[in-house]
Amino acid sequence: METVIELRSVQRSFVTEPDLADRIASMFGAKSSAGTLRAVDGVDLAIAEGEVVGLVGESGCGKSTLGRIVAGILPQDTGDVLFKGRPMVDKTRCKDGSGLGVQMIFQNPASALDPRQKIIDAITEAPIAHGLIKRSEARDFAIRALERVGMREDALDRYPHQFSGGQRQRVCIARALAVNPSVVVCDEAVASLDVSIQAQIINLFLDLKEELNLSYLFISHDISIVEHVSDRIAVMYLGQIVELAPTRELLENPQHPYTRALLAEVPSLDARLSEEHALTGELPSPLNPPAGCRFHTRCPIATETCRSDMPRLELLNGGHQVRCPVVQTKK
Amino acid sequence: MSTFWQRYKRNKSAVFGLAVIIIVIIMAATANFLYPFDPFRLAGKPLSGPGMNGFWLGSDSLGRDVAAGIVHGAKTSLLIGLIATLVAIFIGIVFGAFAGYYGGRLDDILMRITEIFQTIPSFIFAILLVAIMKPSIVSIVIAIAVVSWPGVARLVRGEFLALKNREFVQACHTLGMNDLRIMLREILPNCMSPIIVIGSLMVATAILIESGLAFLGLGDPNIMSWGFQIGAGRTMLRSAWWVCTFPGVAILITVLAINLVGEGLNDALNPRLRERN
Repeated sequence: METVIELRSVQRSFVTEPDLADRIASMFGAKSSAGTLRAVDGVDLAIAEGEVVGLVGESGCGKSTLGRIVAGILPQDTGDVLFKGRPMVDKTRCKDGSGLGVQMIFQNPASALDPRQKIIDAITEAPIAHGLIKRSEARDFAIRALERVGMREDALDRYPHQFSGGQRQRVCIARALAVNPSVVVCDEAVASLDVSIQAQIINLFLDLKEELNLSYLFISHDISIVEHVSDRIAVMYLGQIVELAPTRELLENPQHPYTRALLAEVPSLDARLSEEHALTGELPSPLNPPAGCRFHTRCPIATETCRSDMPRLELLNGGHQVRCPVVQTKK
Repeated sequence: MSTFWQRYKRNKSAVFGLAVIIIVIIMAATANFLYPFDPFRLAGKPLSGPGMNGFWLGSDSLGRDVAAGIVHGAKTSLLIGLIATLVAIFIGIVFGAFAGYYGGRLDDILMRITEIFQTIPSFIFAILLVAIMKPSIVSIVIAIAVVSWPGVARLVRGEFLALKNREFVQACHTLGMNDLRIMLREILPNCMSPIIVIGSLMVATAILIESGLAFLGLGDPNIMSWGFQIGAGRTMLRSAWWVCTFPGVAILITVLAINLVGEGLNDALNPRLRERN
């Protein structure tokens, strides 16, 4: 299978700039609140055509930032994001819509749609602006786009607030697919929906994937959803991928202590993993991550070297990658 | 639109204000019909009291009809108030939109410029500008616009700052829309409500500034205005009270009505305050 999107040691930091009051305070010896937050710290990831990669992790681990980098909303500081082998281009520059290969579905469909824009305009604005369709074809195009996500024509001239959450998310999907993307980043795309609607939307995602040969980067904090849709799962902790494996393999044979802890927290009738210790302590501040392995402060099996040396993501077998020297040596 | 009117209607004083403004607008629009002569014309006996010698609201020291002055002055006040506000809002939107959307250095530069204008006392600054440019209707509009845009700029900047990180704007980025399109088609329509509210209040302020300028003799000498009438009559306040009282009342009622309407618009357009009572 051909790789559609590839991340090579992508890094992204957020710098909190000191404001005037801060600078004056630090002149008098106060501790400055400014700092650098490494939201994404050296991520390598490749997604193949038609593949679904799940991305899980606690809130604040940088998974949304990574999704936004893939979608081209945020630029990366260093590293490369390659789309079909070529670096991403400035989307507004290519007039033929060729820069729109990656689209994004957001967590909250209510805020992802312009409240003052009719559905027809939301769907057709970008294709018209990029010359993919003519203005005169807009209505037919929008009808087809809505049909694809299971909505009817009468939605066209209504406003987002007239729909339920699930319908709005369908509109968002129709809008994203209107520019013929190859990759869709779903950032907690079902988290704000009712459980019964979640299932419908997830099935819609899977149907569309088959129909259009899409690839997804499916970001969620909910492993049970990710497991249902993903071919492979990546686990993220404090800006780094700590484990990456095919879904079955990851669930049945988790290696990294963080992954084990995450799986142990999933409520389950299966007692297999319940003896694992649940995570203790808070996520350390990403402004000031621990030295050595990022996870050693909460890790039940940490050794002395974990506190000083940053482990690398190593390949075990069967496409199973893990960032933990303890389990690597055990193998 | 109908729900907007439903919400607006709930505020009784705002409905009253709207009614008053409509009367003032009708008055201004029919000025040439009600008093089809020049309001500067010497129409009869000077200093006639209200109701005397055919003057409804009396005449001033040169025999000019006060009622004619008020009706023609309404035209001036509304026109200057409206145009100056539109110009100020335009400048404010341009400054605020670019500062809020792009942030960083551009934001710093634009906001420092805005602050320079904000620190100068606005009425003194307006007097200065009109005095430099020679009093005329154009220079008055420019002066009022120049002293009143910073508020709009700050408001628009704040709205743009808040809206540019909203998900529907990010979605536009992934859809490859350019910045100008996002600013005009996505963000600006979503911050129109506070702009309309601040704009309605600015019309009232603009009318006050214009009256103040005319009172000080810095009005356009060829155009009748309420401030000019008050200025002309102030020396005779004790002997001929009607000369400046009626234009003063006209200013008071108009400005009050506009403020009530602004308040009502705020209640009707601002979703966060909607359930206040």
